Parts: sequence; structure tokens; C-alpha cells
Amino acid sequence: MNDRRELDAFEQEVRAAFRSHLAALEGYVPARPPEIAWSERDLLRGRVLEREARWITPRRRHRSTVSQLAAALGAVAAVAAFALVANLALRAVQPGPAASERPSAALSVIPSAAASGLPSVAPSSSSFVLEAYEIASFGSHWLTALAPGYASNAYVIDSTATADLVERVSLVDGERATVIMRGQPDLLTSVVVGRPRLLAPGGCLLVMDDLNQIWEWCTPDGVSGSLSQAHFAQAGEAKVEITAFTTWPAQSPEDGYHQMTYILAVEPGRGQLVRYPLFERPDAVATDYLAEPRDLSGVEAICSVDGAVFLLDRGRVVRFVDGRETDWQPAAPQAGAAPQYDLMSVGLAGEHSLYLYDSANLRVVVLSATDGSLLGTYGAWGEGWTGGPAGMFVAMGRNPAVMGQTVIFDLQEGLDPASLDVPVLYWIAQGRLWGAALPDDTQATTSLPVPPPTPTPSDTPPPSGSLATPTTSLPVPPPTPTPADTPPPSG
Amino acid sequence: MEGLSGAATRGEGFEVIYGRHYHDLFRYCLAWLREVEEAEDLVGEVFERGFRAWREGRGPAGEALPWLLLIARRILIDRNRRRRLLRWLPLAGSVAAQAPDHSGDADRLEFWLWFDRLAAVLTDRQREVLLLRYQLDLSDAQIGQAMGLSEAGVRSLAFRAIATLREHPELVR
Repeated sequence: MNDRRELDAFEQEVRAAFRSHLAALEGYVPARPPEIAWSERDLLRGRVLEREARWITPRRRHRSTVSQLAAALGAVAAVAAFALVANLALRAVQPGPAASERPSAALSVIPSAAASGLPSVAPSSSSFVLEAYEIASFGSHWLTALAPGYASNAYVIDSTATADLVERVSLVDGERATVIMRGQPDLLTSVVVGRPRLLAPGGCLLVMDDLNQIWEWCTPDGVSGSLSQAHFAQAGEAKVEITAFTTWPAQSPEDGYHQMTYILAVEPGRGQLVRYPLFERPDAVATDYLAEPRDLSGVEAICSVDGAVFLLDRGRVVRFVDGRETDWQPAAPQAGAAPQYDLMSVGLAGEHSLYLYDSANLRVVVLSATDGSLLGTYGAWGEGWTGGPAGMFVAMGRNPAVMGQTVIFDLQEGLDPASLDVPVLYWIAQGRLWGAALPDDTQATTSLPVPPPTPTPSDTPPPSGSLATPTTSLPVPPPTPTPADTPPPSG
Repeated sequence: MEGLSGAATRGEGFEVIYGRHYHDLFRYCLAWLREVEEAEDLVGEVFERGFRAWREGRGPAGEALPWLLLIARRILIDRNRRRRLLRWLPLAGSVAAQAPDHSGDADRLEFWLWFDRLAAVLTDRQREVLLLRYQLDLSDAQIGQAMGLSEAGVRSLAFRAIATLREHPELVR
């Protein structure tokens, strides 16, 4: 069975040690398996031959209280009017089946947006206002960090004093589950999890607590998982301030060949990025990444793309290669004020891009991680953006715009385009996880979205023809009436 | 090793798979659980789940043993998580944190003392890779299927484990 190469002398010694120690367990292995009465009928039943069409009814798009009330009143009025008209019509023509006997109309409804897929929802333009759809609500809880997870899941840190936990959220149906909580002990070492503070994606989710301990949550299927503490030099050193961290794949310095994953942590006290190997033996040592210490007191985020390290430092992005700052310059969008970036996230795999939230202009800017060129700009204001996001990431996922609609997903007749994965921006704000599909065209254009002078209050329904309705034209919100809008007085 | 599909095409039932892999699965579960009764329970649960999946046409595409090991690992992970949660609760802590009683089992105790000494220098995954290699004699591809890793990932883990053990030769002598 074993098809490996020849073992060297030491490996043979290891193998012999394992076998000799394991031989001690052989006395406990039963001579024969326990008898089980197998049902042959069950064994021969075979595959399920009929496949039923699955009906997916995702969550409805979040609506404000005022608009919900208006919609409810409208629905009641519509039903009453319909009932009146139908009653009159039925009396006038002929008796038919009662309403309760008719098949449910919902089964055949495919909304145009869902049937036609993304393009009808997202205009093909980079000057596009992101329309927020609620994926999960945490009520009044305080969400402080967001990271992508395996199998269409995301992880959030709920820093509410009574919670202090990391939750998994399904990006498909918004289902939530607690995966890590403060006070939870490690099974092997009995070390206790502190207050979750920072998240970093990787092969497994990495969580840093307030004692600088890094916890690794690994899941084979996106649902169940195991928690273990990762070795980290600064663990337990509560006096050492770590303000951000990420994972960084790089070649091993020992042989220059093996690809290794490192933890890169921002330590402003020493002005250094601490580099520490992940999945490494306990006697590994931490090293400094930066060639020269520098002021890192304003660093808010760190990420790596294609081996380069990016820091978000006092609202601007700086790129490092081999520990030295490069002359990489991010292109500034032509419209609006000077950008003030508050959040930074890596783009999709292979896209070599950075997504940045510009709080000065209420927009999300996409930059090339290679040369800093502008790849796209999306308006980010209105519902879902009030107060600014606390975390965001981009991933392939189900278009949140089709949530709230009934979509036919028939395996025999083919996939509905609305059910295919599209690039989606996810973010947390106002105690909720939001999502918005990104248009497939990310080319920079000269017509950039301009935010309103003051962000639209979430409770105010948008005027007709305004930003809430995606259009292919430039979505510029109507400012306050100007003298030019009023006709000049005659004479 | 024989694949489940191969057995199925020859008209053999799941019982053949059960008889063929029961002992390997039991050894693996015993090494991690340290209790014979718990290992028996776990192996029974693995075959029950496997049988249900096999009956519904969700059996393995290739080898049966890595597939069964994958089921066992998932159940183990679930159990550990539940145990952690129980330990975290103040009332249930004393019940869930009970250590296995190995008194009078000198052989077994010696094995786990040695296995725990390995844990001082090797990670859990490194120990698991070595266990699957040397206990069940699985190939890297099969270990990868069982652990949800690529073949290169398995090789990397094993390489690092062996390299670490080279620095601690007293552990293998």
C-alpha cells in the first residue's frame, strides 16, 4: 500500500520506534469485529433515483422600519383592492375554484433580476453605487472585525462586553454559530482564550486575543472544527502592543525553497513587524521583517499580496518588499477630496488588488497591488454604510441581490444564472453583516460616483430615480436645489 | 487495500468493508482516545455513518479506509469541541475533565507517555501524519484524503516532523 520512496536510516529508526511502541496496543485490538446484523435490503437499495428540484428562499433584503411599514400598508391595500376586484369579476363571469384550492403562485415566480443573473442587478460600470443587502443581524451588538472563512462562511468578532466571542456566519443563509469564546480552554494545554481582538484569514482562521495569544480554528467542512493555540513569540506578553497581524506566505530562509507561512504582526512599541513561522516547532524564534524600524503608531491594517506587504498607515497605503518600502504609489481617483483610507482588504485570488474604504469620499476604491493603478471605484453610502464599516472583504459568493426572492434551482434543467457565484463585497456595520455584488467590469472610468453632501439617512426611503435603484447612468445623488434648478424670473 | 467502489461492483456489500477495515480503524481511534470502550463506540459510529452514506450513494470514489478515517476525524473533532464547551461550563467541568484511568495498564501507559513526549516537539498534525504512516502504513495520498490535505502538505508535515526528531534522537531510541 505504501508507495513512498526508500526510507533513510533515521526514518527507519522512527518507523521502528512507532511500531514497537504501538505494539503495546495490539493486545487491546479485538480478534474479530463485533457481529452486526446487516440488512441486505438496505445494502442493495442503491442510489436515490429521483432528484427533486430544490427551492431556495433566502433572507429578504433589509428594509428600514418606515419602508417596511409603508410596504405592509401597501400590501394590505393591494390585497383588499384585488379581493374586491376579483370578487366582482367572479360574480360577473362564472364561479371558479376558491382561492384556497389554487396552487401556490410562488412556485412559478422567477423574478427578472434572478432569472437574468448579475447584469440586470449590477450595471456594467465601475461608477456603481453598492446596494447593501443584509445577510445577518446581530442586533445592537458591537462587531469589531470580519474575516472570510471556508465553505461560504465569514467570521466576526462580537466585542460586546457580555459576548466577547467569535461567530461564524453563513454567507448563504445568514445562519450564525459561536466558534470561539472568551474563557474557553485549550483541550491539551488548558490555556484559556482571552478577549478576541483581531482576525486573520489563512488555511485556518487565526484569532488574536488581548494577551497576544493566537488561536487557530480549523474546520474540514466549514461547520465543525477544532481550536488549538498557535505558537507565537509574543503570546502572554500583555505589555507588548500588537495592533494588527496577518499571514504571509514566503520561502523558508533556511533552504530558500520550501514555502512557509509566517505571522506578521505590527508592534508599534519597537517600530517593527514581528515575523514568526506558523505551524512551526516550539523552539522557533521571532525575527524582524523591516530592515529599519519606523513609526508604526498609525498603522491600522496589514495584508500581503504576492509576497509584498501592505500597511495602511494613517490613511495611506505603503508597500514593502523584502522589508524595505518601495516607490509604489496608489493612484488617486480623479473626483472628490483627498482619499482617507480606513479599511484595507485583499482582492480575489489572482486579481492582485487591494480594496480600500475611503471615508473622506464615502467610496470603495480598488487598486492594483502591482503598480498602484486605479481598477475601480464604488459608491458606498446610504443604507448599510452609515457610521462606516468596521471590517470588509471580497469573496466569490451568491449574489445578495437575489436574496428575498424565490429562485428555481433545478439540477436537471440546469443552473439558474442567479445562483452562480459572483464577486461580492461583504462588510460589517451597524451590528449587521452586509453584502453587495460587484459588477464584473472593474475598469477605471473618468465618471466616478460622487457622494451626497450628507449621507442619506437609512430611515428615509430614497426618492424615485435616485441611488437606491441601480441604473447604468452615473449614480450621482441629487444635492439640494440650486438656483440653476429654478426658472429665472421673467423680465 | 481495496476500494469500496471495487467491492460494490463485485457485488460485495458494506459488510466486506467492515470486516476489512475494522481493525485499522480501531487502532487509529484507540491511539487518540486512549480508552478501549470509547474506541469501540467511535468505530461503531464511524461505520454507522459510513453505511448510511454508502446506502444513499455517497460512498467514497476511491479507497475506503481514508474515507472512513475522515469520518472518524470529524467525529473526534466534534467530540473534542463538545468536551471543551462542557469543560468551560462551571457545573460540568469536573465531569468532562475526567482523565482516563490507565492504572494497571503498564503497556498502554508506556505508549502514551512516549506519545506525549513527542507532543513536546511535534504538533498534533505532525504526530498524526507519522501515526498514519507507520501505524497503518498509508501512502501520502491516502493520508491527505483522510486529513483533508494535499499530498505535498502531507510530505511537508512529515518532513518537518522527521527533521525535528533528528534534533531529538533520544525520543526514538
